[in-house]
Amino acid sequence: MAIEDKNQSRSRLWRDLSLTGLVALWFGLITLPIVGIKMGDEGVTWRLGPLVIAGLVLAGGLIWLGISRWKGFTNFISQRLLAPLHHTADQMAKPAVIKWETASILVLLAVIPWMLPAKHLNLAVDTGIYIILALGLNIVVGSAGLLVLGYAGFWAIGAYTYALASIMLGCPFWLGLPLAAAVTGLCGLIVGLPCLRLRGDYLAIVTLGFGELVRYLLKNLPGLTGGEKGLPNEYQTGAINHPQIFGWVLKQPIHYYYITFIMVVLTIIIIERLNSSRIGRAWIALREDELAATSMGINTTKLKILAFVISAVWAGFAGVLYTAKMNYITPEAFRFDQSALILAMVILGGMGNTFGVILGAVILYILPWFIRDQMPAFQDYRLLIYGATMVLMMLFRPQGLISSKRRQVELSSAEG
Amino acid sequence: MLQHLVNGLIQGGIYALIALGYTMVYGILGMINFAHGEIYMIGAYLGIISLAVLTAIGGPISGLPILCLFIALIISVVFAAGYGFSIERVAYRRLRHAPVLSALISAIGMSTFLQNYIMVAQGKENKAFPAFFKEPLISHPYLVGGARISLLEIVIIASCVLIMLGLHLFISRTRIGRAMRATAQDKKMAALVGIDINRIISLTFIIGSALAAAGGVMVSMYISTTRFDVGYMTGIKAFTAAVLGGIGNIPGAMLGGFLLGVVETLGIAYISPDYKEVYAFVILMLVLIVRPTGLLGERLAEKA
Repeated sequence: MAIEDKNQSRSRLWRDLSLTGLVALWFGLITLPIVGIKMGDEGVTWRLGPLVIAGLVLAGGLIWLGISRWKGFTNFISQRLLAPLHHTADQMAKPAVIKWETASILVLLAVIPWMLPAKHLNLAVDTGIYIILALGLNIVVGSAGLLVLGYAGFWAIGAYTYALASIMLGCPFWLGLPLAAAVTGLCGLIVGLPCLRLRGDYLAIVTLGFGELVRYLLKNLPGLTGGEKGLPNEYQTGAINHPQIFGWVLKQPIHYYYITFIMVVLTIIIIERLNSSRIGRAWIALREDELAATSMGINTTKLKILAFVISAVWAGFAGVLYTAKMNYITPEAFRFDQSALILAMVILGGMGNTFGVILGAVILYILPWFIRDQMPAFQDYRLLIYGATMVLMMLFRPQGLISSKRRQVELSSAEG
Repeated sequence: MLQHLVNGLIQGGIYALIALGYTMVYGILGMINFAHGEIYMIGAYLGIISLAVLTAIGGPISGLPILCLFIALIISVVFAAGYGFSIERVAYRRLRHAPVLSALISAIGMSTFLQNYIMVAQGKENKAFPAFFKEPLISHPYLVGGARISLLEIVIIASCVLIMLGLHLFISRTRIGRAMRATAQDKKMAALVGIDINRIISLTFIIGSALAAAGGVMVSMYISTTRFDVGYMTGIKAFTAAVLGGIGNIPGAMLGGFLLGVVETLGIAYISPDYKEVYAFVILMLVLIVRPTGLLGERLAEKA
């Protein structure tokens, strides 16, 4: 018996090894014309790219084989690395009690800007804006389970609303927030009402269309939006207002740091409250089984639209903050890349989990920034890596780095 | 007017070719293959690269431009089919029983990946289609009722129609076509009667990718250039065509493609070229809101 087992496992090893080799060969082959040939002005030059790719695939496959045969490694990952993160996430998920960890993080974040140079303060503000966006998108994608691919469209509407209101009417920042929220909320309603009868993937494509439509309209209305030149421009000569408190203009990076900080904290509090409310629980019911939710008396259309509108409103807030901070906006800032980036943040961190989404936003904003800043040679590989990460996450850890408990159950038992 | 109609039909034929890939995959897997537009772009690159290599090799073969075009087309189609097959194996197969959201996100990731893969490997700049090879096809345009039609345009429309007819016959008459239709209707039942589901799905991706690559080569030849990011927009338009005709429905995708191409060309000619990219989105949103089943589609209503 024992000998037979040994033979069997050896032949399985051979099969796995030869399969890995074949896969490596295959990838080397199909990348041959694209990676292996460089077109120049004078004919073509051959490159060794496909060999490198085949080698990488081979190495990756061998490592993968090794890992899957060595149980200790996977145990180490799940117990030593992920368990503490889950613990922290659970702690964060209890909004009623402010634990000392949370309090100390808040204090640290409140004090730290005094030690940072302006460059890093700007980075922190931008990260904060993306955190707000990711949390906003998480309401509709993570909580309600509706895939929205044109989130940058709502962001753009919020940004342009404030920019125009500020330039043409001198609207102050604090009035711009509710104004932009009202406009984006209304747009959410207009887009959402007809679409929410559609199936999930159709909603995705319609919202994608919406996001692009917004960008093309902004680009092609030069009289109002300055077209590709953006705002302000020679037609709209006013300035975009910085926030003011009692006549004191807040325009230093550190001021924006605190404004962003407060907005992020408020967003987290509101969203956490929302998630544990009747509405939040209804969203989860809806996401997990629409039919069952309907039969429990949940008004699905109303709830979906609510999620859609609230999510759009947060894009509006982020838009105002972004516009005020940048003082200059163009349609190109709100490309589909941005929608995909925000979505990637939600996915990487863990759909439906507030702490996870924040982590996702921080990783996906600061890491590329670091690459841009420190290793410009890798700049071009940024989106390549995003794409690969999205695929790999879906294959191996669809619940994200930090999963919400409910989501985890849903994804592992989902069928069809 | 006639000229616009001709241009619209060419554009539409290409949309239809790509739309077929969307519709076939949607019919069988019930998911939108976001990476399909990227396959079209890869097809265009493969064509240009093959021609560059053929030129570099030189010799008697480069004196026969039509033969070179044909060889380039074959190479492009074969490799693009390989890409389509690999995409399904890598990014979709494991997610076949996962929630739709996971597969969709994986598809978006794959699309971003492929686009930037080409950008990193071949550069950000436009790639020109070597003019030498298409010269004999455009040098003597015909005049038909005031419209100038070149041989190239006739070849493109004719090959689109032929390819689509061939596909239609393949799906409706052959054994494998029947197996594909059975798989689209009910995967479990099809597996029970002895159809190898994995093979059929792989085949669907291979055929769809081959068609998209053919479209890519033809478009890059027609407009003389391509870029790493053309797949995104063309993909969305082809998807619009598929939805317009009724997704999952093969004649519908053809009809939708031609219709979209004509509407877009007329829109550019008579309304405004600034909104070139907007017409497709407006049509897409209107169709999804007013008649999500599309013009010829009824299958969706059953499936939803």
